[in-house]
Amino acid sequence: MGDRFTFKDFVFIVCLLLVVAAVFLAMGQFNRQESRLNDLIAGVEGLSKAQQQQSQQIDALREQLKNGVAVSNNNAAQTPAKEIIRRKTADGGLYVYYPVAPTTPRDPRGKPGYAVGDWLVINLGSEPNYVTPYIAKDAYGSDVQDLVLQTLITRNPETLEYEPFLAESYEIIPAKLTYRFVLRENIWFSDRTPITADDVIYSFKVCMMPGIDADRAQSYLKKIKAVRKVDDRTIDIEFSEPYFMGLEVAGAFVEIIPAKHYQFTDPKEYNNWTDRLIGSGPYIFDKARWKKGQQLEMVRNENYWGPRPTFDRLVLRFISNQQAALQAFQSGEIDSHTPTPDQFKRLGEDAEFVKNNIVYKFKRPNSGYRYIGWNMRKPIFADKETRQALTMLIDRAGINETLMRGLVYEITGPFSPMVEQNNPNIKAWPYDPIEARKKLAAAGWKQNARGVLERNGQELSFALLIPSQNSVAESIATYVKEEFRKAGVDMRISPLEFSVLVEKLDNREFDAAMLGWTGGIEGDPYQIWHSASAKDKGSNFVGFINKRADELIEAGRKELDKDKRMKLWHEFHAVVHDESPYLFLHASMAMSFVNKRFKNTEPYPVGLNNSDWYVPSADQKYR
Amino acid sequence: MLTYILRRLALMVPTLIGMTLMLFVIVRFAPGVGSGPGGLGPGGDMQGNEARLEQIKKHQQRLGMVDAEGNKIPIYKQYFIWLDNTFKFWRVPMASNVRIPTPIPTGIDLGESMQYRKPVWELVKERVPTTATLNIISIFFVYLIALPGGMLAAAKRGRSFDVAWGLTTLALYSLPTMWIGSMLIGFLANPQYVKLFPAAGLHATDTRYMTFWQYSFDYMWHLVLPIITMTYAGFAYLSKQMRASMLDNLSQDYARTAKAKGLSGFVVATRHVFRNSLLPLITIATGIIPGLIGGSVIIETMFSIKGMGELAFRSTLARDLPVMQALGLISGVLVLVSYLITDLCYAVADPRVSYD
Repeated sequence: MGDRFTFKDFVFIVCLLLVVAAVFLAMGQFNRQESRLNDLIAGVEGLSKAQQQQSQQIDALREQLKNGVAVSNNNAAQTPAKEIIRRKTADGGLYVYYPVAPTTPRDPRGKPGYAVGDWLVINLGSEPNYVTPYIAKDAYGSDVQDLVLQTLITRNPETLEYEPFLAESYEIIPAKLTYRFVLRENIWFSDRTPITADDVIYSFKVCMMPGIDADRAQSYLKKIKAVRKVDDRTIDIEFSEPYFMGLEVAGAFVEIIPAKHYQFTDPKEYNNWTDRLIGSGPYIFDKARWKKGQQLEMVRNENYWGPRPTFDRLVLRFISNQQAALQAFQSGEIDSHTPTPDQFKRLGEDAEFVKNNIVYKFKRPNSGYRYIGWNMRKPIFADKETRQALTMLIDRAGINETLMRGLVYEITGPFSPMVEQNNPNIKAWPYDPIEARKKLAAAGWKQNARGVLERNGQELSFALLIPSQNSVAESIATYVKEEFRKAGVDMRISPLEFSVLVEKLDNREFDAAMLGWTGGIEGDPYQIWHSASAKDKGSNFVGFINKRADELIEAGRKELDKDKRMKLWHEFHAVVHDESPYLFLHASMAMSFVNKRFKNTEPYPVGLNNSDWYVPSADQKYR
Repeated sequence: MLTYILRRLALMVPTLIGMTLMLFVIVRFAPGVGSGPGGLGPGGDMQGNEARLEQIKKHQQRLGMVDAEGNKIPIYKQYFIWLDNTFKFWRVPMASNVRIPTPIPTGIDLGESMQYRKPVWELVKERVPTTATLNIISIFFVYLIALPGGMLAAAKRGRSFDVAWGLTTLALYSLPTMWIGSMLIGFLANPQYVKLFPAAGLHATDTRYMTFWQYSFDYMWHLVLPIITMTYAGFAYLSKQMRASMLDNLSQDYARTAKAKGLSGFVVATRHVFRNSLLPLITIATGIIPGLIGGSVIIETMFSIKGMGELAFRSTLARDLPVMQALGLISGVLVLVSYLITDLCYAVADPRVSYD
């Protein structure tokens, strides 16, 4: 009996295991305490270093005062107040000078109740894979980078014009195809090293280096012929040919990184850095504060060269489940949420919810659009009458109202109706099934015994590829299939996993596909619409090859005068509308829920800008 | 016994080769592998991309499908290169340039993930503790509830408890995890209904000032809903097995003798019959070890927990071949090792079994 393994033994072993587990947990806890102590020590050291610097500065000032200081006469003429300059230069260029770094139009400092402090907790949706500059491939990584890195120029969120930011002035010199930037004085990175022309040159060098994994950016940057240092604060960027996006590429594409922290011998070394992110921006990225799988905390840059950033911390959580994210928002765990159309319909119009939260719904010029693309290499889609007729068979306004619950709006071409590139005189193809049937008949389609339209022995029957697990795409496709069936067009719906869908598009193995493109304020139509992009797995996978469109695109890219350029884009829009290579479905509205304690949250045309938000002292949640 | 163990270990090698080869071939021939990242924006929208060809070539090089010049490598060669990179076979240096490869591994290198640009081993190290915690706790509760339930059902066979228990566990088994998870989040983590538990993640946002006990409690509080979702479906199978095995043994002669001796039903069941009924459960227990790091995709995605299941799922979607193969290798090794351990446990538990 004594040798047997009884229940008591089992309990004893379990208790033993619990004790061992407790020991391990205690070890973990000691470890945690140790690292917190280390953080504290580092913090104290940083404070004492800052204090040392300050006392040094005071000593230097005291010395200067001892030597006497000249007091200037009160002649206003001698030192006129510095003003913003924006003037056209002699050779058709532009010179823009901002003596002080521009703030946003709704800068919160000075607004009633403005207080520094509190945290802003937002949901990034998905954890970024890496945050190193230039090679980050996902949008989530660039959300983090936007808080830490800055560029020479920025776009004013209201006027949409480019203003010099890290640069104090920029000059466009058309004769030499050059953009000249003069850096501001008294700007520095988060470790107080000043930003110099050498850092700018180095940033361009790294971003343009072959071997660095920045293919998409490099396809634009390869138009730059040379980047030259003129003096310690002046940089010239020369292009090899005139390009209408030149200012944007030269000044807003490449974020400025501190040369001394990004040294490497082999580009492969750089490509493998996943979390080296140091810049001059209002927040600091600290590897230790990236709790993998949970959240990423950004701390205020106490050495920021501009006005003090409002929030103590910006916490980015990674909640991928939409329902869980909405509930986290409702319980106050996160401070803002981008609802799905269903969630917006349910809550955004509920009086109780609107009273207790801030709700926004607005159109954005950079929202992108959804479309169905026809593979024009297939004989059934080769003629434009057929394509136009297919567009006219679909009640797009009806889809927008019912299926998309009014949260999208109509487009007539590849541009948002809110940007200048869009030709406002073009009317969308009307919903007219009778006229569409006439067009199809005129194009040679006749109904055969099966009830399907046929021409030259070929049925108008094809498969529409849609991304799987996307309920919106499925509902639209189902509706479209039914409308087509009534007219004798046989469409099959083929949901595919996204990577498989991309492969089929690359290899041009598809009939039609429903997808979306992201948008911009003024985009370059070359990648999607030029005939050169139709080969070699370029993005013109529908095979849109049109001589006039090519001419317009090439001329537009080279045209630096905005009015002339917009005329070219308008004509291009007309060509695309006529040729109908896509069935343009709609563009999405932006929707947002924000926690009530934030003030100054109204969106700009391009979207919400959380650097304008603040929380009055009394309402602050995290201290 | 020792020769038996050695023989089994030696037999593991061809099984592993066969398994990894099959996985390798299936994965390489899947559609969507060669295309690489499609230039996705956050909404799944695409951005026009001029440098597509270059991007694809680099992507395929990274996956080992093409060599430095861009020529395709035949599949069998790819497999051997992968084997060599993973196990780093020892090469015998014969002359200055000649080194003969031997099938003797000198180390393990699981490769580097294409999406995360990190060694796979680091990714696994990050995620295994989370998954293991979830699984261990869940298994503990399943056993805690299912075993006594099965025993009671066997003891009161045919009566109301047996029927009710069987029905309940079967009903729970039939409920789909995805629905239950959504319901739990929707009702128990929702300020509009009952806000008892947090909706997602494993920790609260602000854990700066939490003491050890607060931190642990916060962690456990976040674990409740995922554990419930993982556990409820497991009762049925285990308790039915336990019940069947107990019934088998309760009808044996020794059980009747013990009852005749005057021992109560409870003592007979727990002290005598229970041990002998454990034998079939040992087989089930072997599923635990590989399952420990398997993770459940549904639960991890729904509750935004970064675990092994989520890694496997995401890598499959993104066609991250090194990770898929490394995970296949790891789980293959674990399954085979656990089979070996099961057989050894049988030899220990059941004196009738001998491997000599």
